[in-house]
Amino acid sequence: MGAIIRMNESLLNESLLIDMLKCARCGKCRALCPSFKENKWETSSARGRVLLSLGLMQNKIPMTKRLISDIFSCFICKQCSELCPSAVDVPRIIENTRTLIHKKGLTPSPIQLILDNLDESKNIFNMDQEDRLLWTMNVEELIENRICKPAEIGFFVGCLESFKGSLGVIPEALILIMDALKIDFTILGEEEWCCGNPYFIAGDSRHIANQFAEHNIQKMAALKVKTVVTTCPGCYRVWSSIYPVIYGTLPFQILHSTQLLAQLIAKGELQITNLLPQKIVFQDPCELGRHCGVYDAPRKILSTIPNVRLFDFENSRENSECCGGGGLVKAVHPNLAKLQCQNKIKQYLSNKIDQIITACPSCLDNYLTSLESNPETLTIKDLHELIAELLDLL
Amino acid sequence: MNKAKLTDLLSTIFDEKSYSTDEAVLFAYSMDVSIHEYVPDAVVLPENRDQVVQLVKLAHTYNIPLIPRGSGTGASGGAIAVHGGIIVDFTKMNKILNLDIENLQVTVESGVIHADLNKYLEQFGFFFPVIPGSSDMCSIGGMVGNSASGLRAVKYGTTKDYVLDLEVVLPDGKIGNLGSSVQKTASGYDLIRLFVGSEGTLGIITKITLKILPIPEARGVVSGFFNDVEQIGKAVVNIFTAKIIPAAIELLDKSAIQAINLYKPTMNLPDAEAMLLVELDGTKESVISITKKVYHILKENGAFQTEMTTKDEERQKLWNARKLVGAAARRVRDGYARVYEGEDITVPLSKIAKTLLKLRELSQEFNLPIVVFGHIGDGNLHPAILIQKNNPEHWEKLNQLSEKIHEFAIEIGGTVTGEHGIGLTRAKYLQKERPIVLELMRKIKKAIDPKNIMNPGKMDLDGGYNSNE
Ligand SMILES: Cc1cc2nc3c(=O)[nH]c(=O)nc-3n(C[C@H](O)[C@H](O)[C@H](O)COP(=O)(O)OP(=O)(O)OC[C@H]3O[C@@H](n4cnc5c(N)ncnc54)[C@H](O)[C@@H]3O)c2cc1C
Ligand code: SF4
Ligand code: SF4
Repeated sequence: MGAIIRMNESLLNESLLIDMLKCARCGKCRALCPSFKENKWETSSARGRVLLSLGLMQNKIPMTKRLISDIFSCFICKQCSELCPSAVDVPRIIENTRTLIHKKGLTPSPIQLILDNLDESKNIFNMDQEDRLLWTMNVEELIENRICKPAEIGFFVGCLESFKGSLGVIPEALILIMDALKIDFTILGEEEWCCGNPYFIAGDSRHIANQFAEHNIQKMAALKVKTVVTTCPGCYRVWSSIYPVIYGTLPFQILHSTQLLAQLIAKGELQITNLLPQKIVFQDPCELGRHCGVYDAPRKILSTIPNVRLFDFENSRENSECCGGGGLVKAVHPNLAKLQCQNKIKQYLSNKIDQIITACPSCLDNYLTSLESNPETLTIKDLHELIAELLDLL
Repeated sequence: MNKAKLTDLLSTIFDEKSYSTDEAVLFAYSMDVSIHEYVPDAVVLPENRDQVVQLVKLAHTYNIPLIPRGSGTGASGGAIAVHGGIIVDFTKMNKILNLDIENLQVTVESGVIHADLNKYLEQFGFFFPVIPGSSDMCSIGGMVGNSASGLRAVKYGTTKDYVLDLEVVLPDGKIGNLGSSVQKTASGYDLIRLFVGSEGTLGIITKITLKILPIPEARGVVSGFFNDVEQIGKAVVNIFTAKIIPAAIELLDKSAIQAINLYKPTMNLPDAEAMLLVELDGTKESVISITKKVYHILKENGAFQTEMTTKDEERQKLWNARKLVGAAARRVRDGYARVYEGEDITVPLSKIAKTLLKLRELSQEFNLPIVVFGHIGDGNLHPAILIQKNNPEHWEKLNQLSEKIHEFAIEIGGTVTGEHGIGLTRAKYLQKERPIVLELMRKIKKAIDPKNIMNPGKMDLDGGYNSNE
């Protein structure tokens, strides 16, 4: 999808039109689409959104409020294209339609606000960049001499984990693990800008998104890092699949933190001996799994925990449904995001799961809010936090 | 009727989340899987029968066409609004109402998705054995509307063999139950069979009672790859003459095999002129023995590679790929799309090889790829034509090609549709294929729906309203 940014407009339109025309309208994606399962209207299904996009592109329909609302009720979860027999890249089509909406200045206001925040403050919350280090409170001494210092690994923290208090435990846990394993790492601190993901997901195709890419890449390159690690799957997707399209080959490799930890386990450098006598499930984050193909790394980590029962069922891995936190849906349709999460919680409860583990700040955030109203025993935990706890670091 | 008035009327029946006259929404409901495109005036998503009754009364009063719609996976243009009107989308009426195991039946609302029903029944060891390729997507109402069949029709028959009762809202708003809850009845005309396959032209179906069967204890699959299509016909005949009734016998031609490999690369099927996929079911012992028998029959009849399995997972993988091969067909030619035209012919079993050769000839003549697969056990072939949709010349060729396919089917004693229905796509052939039947159908339609508000413009039935009979 990052390719959208660079392509000449008429070539882009032609390639998108060909993609839309490939659709046989078989409805397989409609049956899978999580927002359709809730809303029940054709227009809130993957197939329906392809038709809306086609209608717009062929100038057959106006850009109605309803169309905009339905285009922004897509989680960009990629479940549709994963199984599309005709190989239609539905999320790419939807993101382009979001671009058409943005160009007309009709992007829903809660999302436009996020974009304005980015333009102004380089982060989604419109906070001061100095506040990017608020999450480091408990690990201050471990990082004070590492900020913007040359190192092997550059840890890119991301806006959600930096600014949202309830999610600060994710980077904190990774820092503790890396420090315990004597890994040479750095962070950008105030110099870190948002990865730019909201621009891409909202279809904001202005050049400004490229500036974010160039800034972050150059900062990391200046520190001569060999690897950039992110804990956020959204940042990971942007760094690994969109930045190279904007910038060309990057001077370092990109890893999601679960890949790093899995490598350390494989090398015998990370060992977990504490027991976890629980039945757990891994919530595959869409941007890590279907978008980037990372399914095994988190499972390799979790399956080394003694006594754990890691449960994969038919709705796991490639078939895992979005938690409801994707596609910026939460900003425009908070209820839909919550209902989707509650559906997932129901599935887990019926499978008698003790704990959901994820490796994504958006998933964690959405589950935390949805579980609040759920009196059951089910809990959610970030994978890094779990590992840090099992290593007695937290 | 103008939009404001229509909106006012609909708002007396539906809450604002259940109807729409938004232009973008209407466009999304202007198509099904067929090549046709007609924009309706409104779309409604009823949640219960009472809303349907009120809607029908309104439509009857104001002469507004009503077009029932399940999931819009029909391939004949059945669920689209040729003369405008209101699309009645049954997605929200998706409850399984009653399972009566003692009497081997289940009652559902029309919008229940086929795969959801079978998933539900599976817990109790039962199933509704008609399995269309669109199982994950299509509704039971749509299956009844089109008299759908599917992969296991050879042994289990089609939808019409399983419908025990239908609750129907007739065009004047009266509600009627057309069948009975017992397994058979000789009480009066068989109106169930009339409504199954009526494609929404006689009334709106709100509730369906289906006969269900116990899931067989075991299943086996044999696949055979052939380099000579003539041998396939012989192999099929020899399976039957060996007194074996398979649950399914499916055929995939060279390009369909290629499409599966492109869609699911892990399948890694060998290159062959054609593949036969035979499913057997029954008790464990019988399945093991007939699976072996079929394995040998395919071998003896020229299959250069034959495989068999009774493992559920492997079997399921094969069927999952087979089910979507139609939509995956486009993968064999870059830049081309699959169009549903000429895609549902059924020919006498003895003419299958001839038909396959004819299709190959036509593909060459028109220089358009045709991917062929189908339920060979009942002679139902699905030639999937591929075209470049943004090439006007291809549309022109498509018209001629589908015409030739249909005419060929009729010529050799077959039919233009085995399971997808007449709708709009095949309306013009009914007169030629079954003139007397069409005449009677028109009379019946006019008697039940004198105002022609139920899905007008389909099945060549409008002609009946032009005469004074
Ligand atoms: C990939 C793919 C594979 C397929 N495989 C098969 C197959 O193996 N076998 C097969 O038979 N078909 C197959 N089909 C065609 C199609 O799925 C079937 O015809 C199916 O039954 C249509 O169901 P639907 O819910 O989508 O109905 P729709 O397309 O929405 O409607 C079909 C017809 O039924 C009428 N209808 C719908 N609901 C009602 C109602 N409540 N009351 C009255 N009339 C109603 C409509 O007006 C219309 O005329 C396939 C299609 C695809 C895309
Ligand atoms: S699964 Fe693919 S071909 Fe089928 S309706 Fe969706 S986008 Fe179209
Ligand atoms: S990306 Fe997800 S939510 Fe969006 S259309 Fe596809 S399946 Fe539906």
